[in-house]
Amino acid sequence: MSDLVLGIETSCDETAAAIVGEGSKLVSSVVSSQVDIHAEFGGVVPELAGRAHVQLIVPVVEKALGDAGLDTTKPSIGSIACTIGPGLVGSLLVGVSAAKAMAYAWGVPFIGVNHLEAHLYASFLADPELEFPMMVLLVSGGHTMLIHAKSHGDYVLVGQTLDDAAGEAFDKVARFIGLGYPGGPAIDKAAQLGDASLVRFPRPMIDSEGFEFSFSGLKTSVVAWARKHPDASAEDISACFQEAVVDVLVTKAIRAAREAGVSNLCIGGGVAANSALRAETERRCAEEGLRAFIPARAFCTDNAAMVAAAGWWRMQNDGPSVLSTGAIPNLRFP
Amino acid sequence: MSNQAISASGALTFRAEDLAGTKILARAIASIIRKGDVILLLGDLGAGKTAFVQLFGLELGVSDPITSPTFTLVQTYTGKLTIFHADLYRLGGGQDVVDLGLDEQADEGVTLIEWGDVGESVLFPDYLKLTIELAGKDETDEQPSCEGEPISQVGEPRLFNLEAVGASWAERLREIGLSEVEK
Repeated sequence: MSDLVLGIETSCDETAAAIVGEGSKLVSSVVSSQVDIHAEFGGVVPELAGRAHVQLIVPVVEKALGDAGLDTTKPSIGSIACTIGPGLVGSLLVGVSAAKAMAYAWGVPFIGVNHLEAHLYASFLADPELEFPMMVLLVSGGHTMLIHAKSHGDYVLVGQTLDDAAGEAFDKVARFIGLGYPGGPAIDKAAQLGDASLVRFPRPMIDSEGFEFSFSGLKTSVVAWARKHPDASAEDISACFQEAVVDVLVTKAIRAAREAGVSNLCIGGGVAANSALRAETERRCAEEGLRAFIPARAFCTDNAAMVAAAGWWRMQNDGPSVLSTGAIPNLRFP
Repeated sequence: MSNQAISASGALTFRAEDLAGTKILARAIASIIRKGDVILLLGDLGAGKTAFVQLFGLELGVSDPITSPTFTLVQTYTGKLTIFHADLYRLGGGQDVVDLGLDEQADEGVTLIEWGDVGESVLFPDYLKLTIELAGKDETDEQPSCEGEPISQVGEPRLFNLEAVGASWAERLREIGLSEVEK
């Protein structure tokens, strides 16, 4: 049987499909926001709506199959992996229904994948030699967590945010200082032109016991400071804010790796595309004698290659999911 | 610690000096909540919308940590009642809000919607509108005064304006078991 996995992802804003071999070899990857599929439908497709996924799922899957040189009507693939949660039920259902229908029609196994577990597998796309155990800093718009990954499918939650995710703080600060949406890339870009020594924003919970995070207070602090300093540039505020977030994330991730006695530190999720977080993770890991695994930016943000990679390992360890598997909007991880 | 002023129309203003005060309000609202109820939460960044939902969830026996749904749009929690915790911050209003399908599941639990004003015109005919404002002193320090605490520890005074929209809340707001009514 083919070792190619078709991965499908529709849990949030992106409709995505990808082909990955043996859980780490990228063959093709298509993410709706990166291609001009919208034009085919003669207008702007609302990015957040479930119906956008409905319109995009078939062209995105066809493009992923086509880019991989596969027949789009009966491709030679070994299985289909799809995100079943967490996410919006209306969005998840589009991917899950499509994936199950194709699996049934093409006679290949269907594998349900947890979106958050999939983010962890982006690191295998970066480096197939990556070995357990490892500490994973999973940081995105919706989640901020530290996971001790002991082996495939064996995870321990070390800590997570008590309020806002780090990516959400990026987005809200960006909107407040007029940088627009999406805020993560905008802050990243502005910060490169800013002076990070202008003001020292708080590092919430950086020295606290345990590995919980909190970014709501930092967000409020930055917004309050910016209100009082209308002349401060967006570049400087971005640099100071970003430095505070990155300092907290990297400091706690490294301490978590040390305490767990692991020497591999992976980052994943949309915020892992941030230049400062990538550079600081690399630098502090080198200082501490840890190995840093940093996926390419395209595999930090939502994508289906990571879903295919996670699905391949899930299949090796647990076999396929039953076709009665449905979308699970509040699926927990671990 | 806290006080409220209630008007004949069923609107009510509640002042919470700190998080303990907010907790009193969360408990009072939780005591009159019914399956199918909808609460819209309004207020600027950092006003304490998510903090209110966290306290409200605790009152309903939710044990999972309640975090901000800004990116995930809707999060579901299980307590004495199911809680649908939504956030319209990223949505443009109109059809985007309708497509979330909040009205389709509302009967199965309690729906709390942050940045609810974004969807006010297209969503529900009957809801409690809870507007939160910071009522603290104006800080003028050069350095950030806030230590960046988790919201569960923030203690600034806040004003909560409760407004009943539609029939079902007006009566209940008058019955709400809050402390002394002060004008």
